[in-house]
Amino acid sequence: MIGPFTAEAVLVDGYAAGLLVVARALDRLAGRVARPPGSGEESRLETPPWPHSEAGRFHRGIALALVVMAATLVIAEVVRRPDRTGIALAAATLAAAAVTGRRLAGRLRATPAGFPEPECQDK
Amino acid sequence: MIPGTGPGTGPGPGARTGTGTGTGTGTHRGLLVSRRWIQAALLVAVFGFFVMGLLAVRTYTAHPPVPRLVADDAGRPLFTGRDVAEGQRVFLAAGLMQYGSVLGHGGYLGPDYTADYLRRAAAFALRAHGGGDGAREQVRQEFRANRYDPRSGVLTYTRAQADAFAALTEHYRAYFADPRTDRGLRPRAITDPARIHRLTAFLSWTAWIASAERPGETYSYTNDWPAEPLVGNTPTADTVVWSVVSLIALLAGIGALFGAVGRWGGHLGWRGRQAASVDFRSPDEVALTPAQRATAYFFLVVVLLFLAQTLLGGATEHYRADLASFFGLNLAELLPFNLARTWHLQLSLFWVVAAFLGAGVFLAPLMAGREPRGQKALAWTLLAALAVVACGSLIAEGLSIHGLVAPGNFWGSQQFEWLDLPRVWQILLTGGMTLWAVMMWRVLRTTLRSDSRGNLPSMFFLSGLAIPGVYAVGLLARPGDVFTVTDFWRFWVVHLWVEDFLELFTTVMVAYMFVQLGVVRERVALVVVYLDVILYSAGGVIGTMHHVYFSGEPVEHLALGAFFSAMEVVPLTFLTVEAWSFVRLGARQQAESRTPFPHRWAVMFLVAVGFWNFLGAGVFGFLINLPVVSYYEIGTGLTANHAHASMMGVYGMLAVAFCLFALRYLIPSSRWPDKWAKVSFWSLNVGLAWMCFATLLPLGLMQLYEAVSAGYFEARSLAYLTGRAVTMLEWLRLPGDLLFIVGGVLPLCWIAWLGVRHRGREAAPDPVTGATPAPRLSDVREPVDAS
Ligand code: HEM
Ligand SMILES: [Fe+2]
Repeated sequence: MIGPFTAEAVLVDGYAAGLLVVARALDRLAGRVARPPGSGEESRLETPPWPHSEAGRFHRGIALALVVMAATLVIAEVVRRPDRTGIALAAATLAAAAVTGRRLAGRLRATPAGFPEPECQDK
Repeated sequence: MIPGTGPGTGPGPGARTGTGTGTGTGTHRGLLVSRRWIQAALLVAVFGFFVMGLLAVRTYTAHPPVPRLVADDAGRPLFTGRDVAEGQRVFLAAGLMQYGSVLGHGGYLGPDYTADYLRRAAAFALRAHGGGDGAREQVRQEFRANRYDPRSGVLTYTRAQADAFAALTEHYRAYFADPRTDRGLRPRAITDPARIHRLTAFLSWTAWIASAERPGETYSYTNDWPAEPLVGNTPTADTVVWSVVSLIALLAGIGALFGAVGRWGGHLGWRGRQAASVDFRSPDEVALTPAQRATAYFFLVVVLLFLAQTLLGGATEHYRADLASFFGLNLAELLPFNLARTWHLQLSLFWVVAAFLGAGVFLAPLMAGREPRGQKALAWTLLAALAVVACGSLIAEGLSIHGLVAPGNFWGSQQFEWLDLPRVWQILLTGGMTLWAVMMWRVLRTTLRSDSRGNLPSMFFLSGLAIPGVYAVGLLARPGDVFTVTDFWRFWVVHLWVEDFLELFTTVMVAYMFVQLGVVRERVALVVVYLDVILYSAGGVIGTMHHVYFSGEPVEHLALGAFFSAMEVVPLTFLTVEAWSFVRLGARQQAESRTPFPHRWAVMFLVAVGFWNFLGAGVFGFLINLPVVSYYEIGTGLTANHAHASMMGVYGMLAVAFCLFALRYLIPSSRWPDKWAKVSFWSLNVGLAWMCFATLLPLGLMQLYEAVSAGYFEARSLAYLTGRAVTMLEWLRLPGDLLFIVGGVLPLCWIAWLGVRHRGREAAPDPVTGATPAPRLSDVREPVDAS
């Protein structure tokens, strides 16, 4: 027991929180990747040129997967041991995951792949 | 010069077009980069292999002795050196190295049999001495004392050790005669009493070298591995000190790197072609050579092997999540855990190698500008040879694990983890890869002759040649040799392949792809290649020794291995920085090309390679690289975590990138299933991330905790691995695995099938020579003042 919580619940939720932190870091990184180096004012362009834009999307996509994973882990743990303190802890972690997930999903949507689709092709 | 590349192509090597090195000009081309690069690369490589040579000598002169005879204190023989060698063959033939491990090396479901024997023997001795503190001290002394007499070649076991040997022979007899399959082994895996005796002799020898002190030292032959309090095994001073030193080496290396990037960064890395514009040719305009068209079948074989590998991986994983039944079926009768894992590992090598070879066949004509007659027939021979080796060796491994082939049989049984295929197949595979090298030579012959030896074509050929070369070294590991020696050579293949030569070959191939596409200048690509040789060889060659810290090698292997392998992380950091900036290369060309860039998903897979190189190889590799971590961690979940993130993340994704690159030209534009390439890209990456972060990493961390707090023996026990928390984690990976297989691999199968169906458009051969001109992939228009 760690305070009112079982050690296992603390570990699972702690790990899930760690995943959220990694996801946020990846998202930050995605912002850097999606900007070509040495491009001063260009970096303020709405959409950086491909493939920067899509590399950014890749990192953001992985980040979002980590958030989903964190939520899954926490839910699996609650199902395994549905005690009151565990549920409270899980609810807090899930709330954090929801906030992070919303934010990252928004940013993922705002990062277009930016692949220059030629007009002549029908795809 | 290639005609039609626009006006004003300036003189001198710097102004050559990027679309092929070209031939037929009859002139000799000089070295594109400074001679210093070659000198530095040679120096680093020669130094690395010189030290490796010394370490090889030390391996032979300082490995733990295999006694001629092991006897009890009354001189009664217990077992002989031959029994140990034979026992090792029995161990390997039964596929036990793909189930559990010895000296930390092997599979992770079964126990580490070295730690297993040591714990059981020491516990037996403790009971024999009546328990209590006095008995503990006595056991410790008995196991640590080295009673081997080098003159007579006789090792004397104490009475308690000898009795333990008898008791453990009986223990393993019952263990391997078990008619049930709930350990994941075949029922009655080994029943012959003579084989059990030899097997126990082999395990007893590994436990002896793990506890008996090396002459003149206060630690055992294995640097006191495994952690076993009963015999006083804890991390040694060397293990701790060299861990600290290697950490410093890493930090200093990264610091130096960033300093260098700051100072010379402008000259390094992939830089896009400036001040020129490129028109990518539409795949429909690219007419292929006969062998290039034949590679469609390579890529189909590649994805089918990949599919089989992942399905077997699923079966392997199922054993870990639910050992006793496979959805109600008794799978272990036919496909025991160790056979599934053997095939899973072998196929991971086969499909990746097949993709590399196919990509080589596809790229070589582009480099040479033409393809000689008869190349197609050779491509088919190569593919047939690979298919025969793959099927033949997998069948042989099945027969061996089912006990139908004699241990150590040349045709039918080898079964070292990663070098599972029997020797004859190993030789044939080396032969196949050599045939491939010959094929490369045929195509590149003229180019090589008319070009400087230090330029890209030679680098491509030499790094390609190294692939069969390094693989052949694995033949030095023979099933009956001293385990320490076999492990040394085995890791030349396992490590030097993936952490040095394949990285290098990959860089050359990717460099060529971009040079062919006209987006990078050949000179710039060449600088990157040399930088790679230097950085990878600096750490990666001697770094091989990070696998043999505890395999019975003298302590210098541990020291040098820890120090140099820490340096390996440096290029991974760098190449990620670089990979992220190589991504800038497409940008300009995109904007300026009048035709679309055809390789969206191949490039995205390369972006993924950069990501996994950093995370899977760099971060997850370094996580387990310090000797003091490895001491507790070896053969547990964190190794699986690193192995999957790096093997699949780097070489798997790369193989897919190569496939998609070639398939783009094999499938007509109107039929190209861009959507499925995208689905596969996301599914493979998210699936792999899920596998690592949802299961392997947390599981590995938990197991490491267990190993340090409870003990290595405990952390590797089946009781621990089938505990409820672990089982929950194992099940958690299911969604990721499903996504990986269904969303990631199946679409690739479809794309490869389309490749076989269409196989591109064939170029007309030259009526005189019979050679086929290679296509150009882009048109580069150089401005007048290009430099
Ligand atoms: C793309 C590059 C790499 C690949 C494909 C790769 C692959 C692998 C594989 C498959 C294993 C398991 C070997 C076995 O079963 O015995 C392994 C083990 C290991 N790797 Fe890597 N690796 C890479 C890079 C690195 C790097 C950069 C480091 C550290 C600096 C590293 C450190 C280790 C260590 C210490 C082990 C031994 C773990 C054990 O035996 O339990 N690897 N690697
Ligand atoms: Fe390695």
